[in-house]
Amino acid sequence: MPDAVLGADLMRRATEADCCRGPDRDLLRLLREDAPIYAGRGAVESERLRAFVMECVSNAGLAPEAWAFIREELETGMDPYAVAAAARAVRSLPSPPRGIERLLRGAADRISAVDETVWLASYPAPQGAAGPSAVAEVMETLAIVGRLANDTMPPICADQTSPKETAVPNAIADLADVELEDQDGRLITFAELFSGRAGVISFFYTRCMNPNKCSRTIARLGALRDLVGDTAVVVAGITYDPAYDLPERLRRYGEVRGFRFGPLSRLLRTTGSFEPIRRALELGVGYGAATVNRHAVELFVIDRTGRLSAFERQLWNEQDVAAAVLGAEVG
Amino acid sequence: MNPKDYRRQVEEALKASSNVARRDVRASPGLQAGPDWARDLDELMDTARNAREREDALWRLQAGTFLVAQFAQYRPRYIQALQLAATDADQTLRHAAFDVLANNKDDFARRKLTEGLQDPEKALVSPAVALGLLARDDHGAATSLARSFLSADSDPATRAQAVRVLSADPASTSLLAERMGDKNEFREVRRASAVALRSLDPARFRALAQDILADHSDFQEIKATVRGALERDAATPLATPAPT
Repeated sequence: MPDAVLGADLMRRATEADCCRGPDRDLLRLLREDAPIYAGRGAVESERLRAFVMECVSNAGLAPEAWAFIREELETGMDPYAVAAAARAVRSLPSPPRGIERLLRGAADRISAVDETVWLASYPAPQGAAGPSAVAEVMETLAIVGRLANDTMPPICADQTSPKETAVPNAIADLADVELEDQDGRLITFAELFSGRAGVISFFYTRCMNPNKCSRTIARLGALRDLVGDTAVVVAGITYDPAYDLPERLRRYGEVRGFRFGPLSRLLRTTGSFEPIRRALELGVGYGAATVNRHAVELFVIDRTGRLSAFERQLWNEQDVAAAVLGAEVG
Repeated sequence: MNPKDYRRQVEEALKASSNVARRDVRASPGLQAGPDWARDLDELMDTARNAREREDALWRLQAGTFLVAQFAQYRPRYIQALQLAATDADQTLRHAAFDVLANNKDDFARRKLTEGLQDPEKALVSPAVALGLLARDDHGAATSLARSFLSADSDPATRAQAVRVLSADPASTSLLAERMGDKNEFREVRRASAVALRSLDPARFRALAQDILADHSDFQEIKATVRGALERDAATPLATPAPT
């Protein structure tokens, strides 16, 4: 579908009553990275299109489920369009949560070095079209939410202390035979790696351009590994990009981020397709022509029976994850 | 602009910025004024102005980008000005603008470069330049275009830049190995393929490099390239170089 037709279709969908609510929620679903409209696109192109989807979702009347996407963008986003669209979406929240100002200021700081004018009125942007800059959009939102600040709302970080049940709590059973290769070239299956142990799995790839995502994930996984110490807890990072992330790359990526390797703490790649893992865990990852074009921040906690819970689309900290996984290990 | 001039501009911008900071602290008049980026932006966007003057303004602004915090408020308009310059009638100015935009992974530049590769009548730069600029974004989407140029285009520079685009794509490993080993291929394309393959699949590169070293009919400069890479990887070349 040509981009101009796609843009018009998205605008039309935003006028439909059930586009973000009810069983279909077809527009809301397009915020997920694995939506087909992003497949094969480059990372910047994909961010621009997704920003426009976010704008359409806001125009349709923001559904509660959209908040996780907005928060994730304001916490980690580096693309001016994506951050501007998330900041504009905040204006549609009936009651902005406490702490939103801090999140907005952080986002403005993060994109100030890559700021540019943004155009979210249509997709693709017509040649020469220029709206306000992305930082200006964030500052405008700050001015608005300053007037709406509501101390009765829960703070933004209130839901970060424990993992939530996932939509796929028993997915690990489907992955038992998936073969993985670690940073030293050793082969192991999912079943062998966990075999009745509790643990965590997070996802990353070494070519990730956003330091708030993969680089941070592996550094924090390393800190988590130190926190759980000599317990029989598995700490694993699995790459989204197994064809590129060969063992040597995994090893170097972990080493420079302080990840101490051991039998239960490894960085891994699938030896075959990554698709079974992506599908089973419903991962928020999309692919361009040569590599990942965008992904969520995702960490799964696995208890000794293989049941999953997850920190999804949020910057987790190692203390919260350690508490969750050590609880799962004892339980 | 040559690198020396560019460096001098950056140094002047840094010096001027430092003077501005001192002036802020001491509030004393008479010190050297800082760069006037607003004026430079007006010059760059003034299409009635001489192209060389606009290009000079572009490089002064680009030097300013090193002062990230001070330049931040000018950046949105700078990107707009670059997008305007990228479609200018003057080729040198156009190339300079695309050069900067491509380093910023700019989506407008990507669209224009891609359009030009798909339709020569819309091309603002040559296919080799366009592919080279697109190759700077390893999260781009130009791999299928690069494959078509590699299969149909006979210009060595274009073919080499197509290989550079594919160097980000693990699915192109076999194609790169094929180009690296083909003695009928242009040597610069074979060298670019060797560099790409070494990054994507070091084991396959080493095996193919050993084959090339063992082939007495292959070219000495290709052998020198792969031998050097093997030595840097601390892999011992097994084959004796062919007699000359």
